[in-house]
Amino acid sequence: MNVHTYAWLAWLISGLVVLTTTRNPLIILLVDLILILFQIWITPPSRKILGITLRFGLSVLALSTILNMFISRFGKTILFSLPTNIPLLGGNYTLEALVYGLTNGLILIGMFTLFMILNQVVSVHSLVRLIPQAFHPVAVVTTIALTFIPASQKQFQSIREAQAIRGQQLKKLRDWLPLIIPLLIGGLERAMQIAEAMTARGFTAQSERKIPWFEKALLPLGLIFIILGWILDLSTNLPISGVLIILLGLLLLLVLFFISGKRVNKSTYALEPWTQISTWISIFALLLTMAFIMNIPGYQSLAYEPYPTAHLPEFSILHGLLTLTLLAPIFLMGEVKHDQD
Amino acid sequence: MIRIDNLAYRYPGAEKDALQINELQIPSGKFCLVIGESGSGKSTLLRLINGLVPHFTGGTLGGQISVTGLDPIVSGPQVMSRKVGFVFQEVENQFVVDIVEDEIAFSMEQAAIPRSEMQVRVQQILHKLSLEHLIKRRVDSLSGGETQRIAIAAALVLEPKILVLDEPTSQLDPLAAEEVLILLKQLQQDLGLTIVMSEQRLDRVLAYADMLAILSPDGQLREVGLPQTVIQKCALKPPIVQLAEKRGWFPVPLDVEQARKFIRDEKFTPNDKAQFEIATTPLMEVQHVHVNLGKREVLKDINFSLHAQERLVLMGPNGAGKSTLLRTLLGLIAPNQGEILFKGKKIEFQHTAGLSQNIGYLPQDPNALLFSETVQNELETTLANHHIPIQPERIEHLLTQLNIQSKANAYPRDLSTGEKQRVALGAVVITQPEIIILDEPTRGLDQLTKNALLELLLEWNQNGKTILLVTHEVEFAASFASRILILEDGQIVSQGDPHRIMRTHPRYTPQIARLYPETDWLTLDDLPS
Repeated sequence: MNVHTYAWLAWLISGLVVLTTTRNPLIILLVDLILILFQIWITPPSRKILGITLRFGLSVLALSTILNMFISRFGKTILFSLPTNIPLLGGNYTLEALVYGLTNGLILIGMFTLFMILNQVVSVHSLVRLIPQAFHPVAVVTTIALTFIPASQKQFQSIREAQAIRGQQLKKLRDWLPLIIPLLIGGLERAMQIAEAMTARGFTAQSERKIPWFEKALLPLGLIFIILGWILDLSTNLPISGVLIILLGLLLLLVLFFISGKRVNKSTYALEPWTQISTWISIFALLLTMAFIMNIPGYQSLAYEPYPTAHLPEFSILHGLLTLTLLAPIFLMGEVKHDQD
Repeated sequence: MIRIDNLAYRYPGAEKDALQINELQIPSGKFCLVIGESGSGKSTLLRLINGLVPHFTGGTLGGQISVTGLDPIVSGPQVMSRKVGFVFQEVENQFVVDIVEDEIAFSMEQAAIPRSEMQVRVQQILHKLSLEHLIKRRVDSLSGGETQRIAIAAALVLEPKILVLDEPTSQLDPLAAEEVLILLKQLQQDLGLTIVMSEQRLDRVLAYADMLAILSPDGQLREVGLPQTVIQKCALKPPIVQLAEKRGWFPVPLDVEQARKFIRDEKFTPNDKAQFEIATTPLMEVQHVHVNLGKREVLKDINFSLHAQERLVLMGPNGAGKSTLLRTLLGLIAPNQGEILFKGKKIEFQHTAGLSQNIGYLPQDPNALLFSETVQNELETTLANHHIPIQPERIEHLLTQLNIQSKANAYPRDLSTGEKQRVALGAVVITQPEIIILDEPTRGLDQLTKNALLELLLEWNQNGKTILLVTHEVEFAASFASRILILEDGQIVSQGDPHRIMRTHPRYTPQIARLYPETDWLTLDDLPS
């Protein structure tokens, strides 16, 4: 069953909201476990993703914990101390800094896994299609750039082989020159060929119609309103609400995108159908997002702070249960079809 | 349909015109073949038809050009894209997106055709070209022939009146090329398309054309008219036309079918069949080699030997595994099973860089090798890589052999395709290897350059070099090979005497052999005087 790209984006946003609104290590650990499970489910068994993820996760945890213990010397529970006469390293190493560093690591693992999953379930081209019509040339250029990457990898491989069989070996930095120069020049030549092919097939980055004056004025006006609103918002004594003026600026920019999009005389071939599963995934994502930004029972437990003395974090069962909705796509989609390697 | 008068075009910064055409008319529904040496302006002429020249290239242009009543210079490529479909020489580089149906729809999206109509047109064009099964495939997973046909589908989906193709069969094996040409002829007849196509391999294309235009090396339109008439004034004649000239056949046949009526009453004595002999010293032995790339088995139980001073030609369809086999011989890919021995020693224990001192390898794309400031430096680099002292007289001698001595101080990437090919060849043979391996060395070369390459390789072989090459060019293979090996679907299906092999595999049979099937003649040189 297909899930619409917008539904996947809603799922991603809900995951990001969870990971950025709480510092409760228990909730974050739960999210990480859910996401790792998700990733194992969508990855072909041949790729042995669990081992890779665990190795990556442990490295991130170790790095972020050690780094934080070196940087932050606050906290009352001293684990060990180094003589203060050792530059940079000397001083107390605390449990609080360790917990804070571990939490950072867990958040990083969660975010990385979220994007890894999105990368597996949504093609980049589906994401590119979401670029508004006003930015049509940007969307096309992005698409080409994406097809360019594998082509460049292939070209690099053939150059590397071609140079190797004339006796070239990579020992010094200078030895990379025979690989870089043909790759760069070849890349430029290919870019020119694609540009020529696109021109021959009717692509143009410029609109044939003239831009009316009011449309030209929308961009500077919108930006002025946003900056003005921001300044007003900082000056708290003024009677005008800065947020309202910022919103007005954003509205002007939206109008500009809408009008510019209408002016782009292009059509789109691919149509992604909205399915019932997409609706359910979006609803669960909305619920999860609301639960983590609204003050509902258990909300206070999300704001965990290990300093100055580390203590066991509280665990909100409601939030824990709602976090499980991140697994909703697995249950709704049923069996996953793994691509052939 | 297309009319050009007093046209002169010069690229920006060039000292002379790239193209000069006094008068050229291509009527509606005709198949016009444009031929000429490399650099004669064929691609420039094709790009003028849809306005890419000068809109994309810049430059100065004089004279008039009219295409379906429009002036492409005034209208520009975007408007002309509805009238002229264009298929480029390196088709894989013209693809913008990764899935077949999206690629075909790209030009319709630019023309703002409604989605429902786009969906109908994509289905229709794929059905017409019998490509429905490829609709969801990734373009980089297609075979050579499929890629070319998808490019044609993408060019035709806007229903243009004219289809322009720049050397569309240059990368295809004989069968795939034949399929593309039959398809073009069918489209010409069914849709009333006007086709303008440039091509180097006249032996396979000439019979399909209704008109032939020859461009001289300085970019002037030298001749235009019926192929039978114009081909006689051309220096680049296919074997069947050369034979017709020798025998005085009229009207000049353009392919084997047309030539058959002239030989009905011909009496000839077939030559005594020469015994096929094979040198006894194997330089390289390939024993039961299997190679997997990903999950796919690309080479299956490959067994053959390369003997000293042999000229072995490896042929086979696109995707058969020919290039993979060459890369495996050089140790670039490790076999999953089997062994490769060079002079009795396993190559798996030898470093590729060291091995390449004795085995010179020219890859398909010579640009992959070229990076130095001058041609001379390019050759010196290889010597330096192998820690061989630089001997100027050795470099000079090789450059003279390759006929690029005048380009010794030129920037290699600024040279013509043929010259670049020779520089790259120089860069791999400067170490004087015993074996020279070439992967499609004739790709993109005009007939004269191919002939020069053939002579050079034969001379090197006479002087003791062992040569293994991969080619799709049947006539080139027939003139060069002392032994032929056919690879299909990763397996050797046939190997041995070219006279036998080329006859038993119709797709690799040269024109002379097809005309005289009861003899063992392959080329004009085999015919009794």
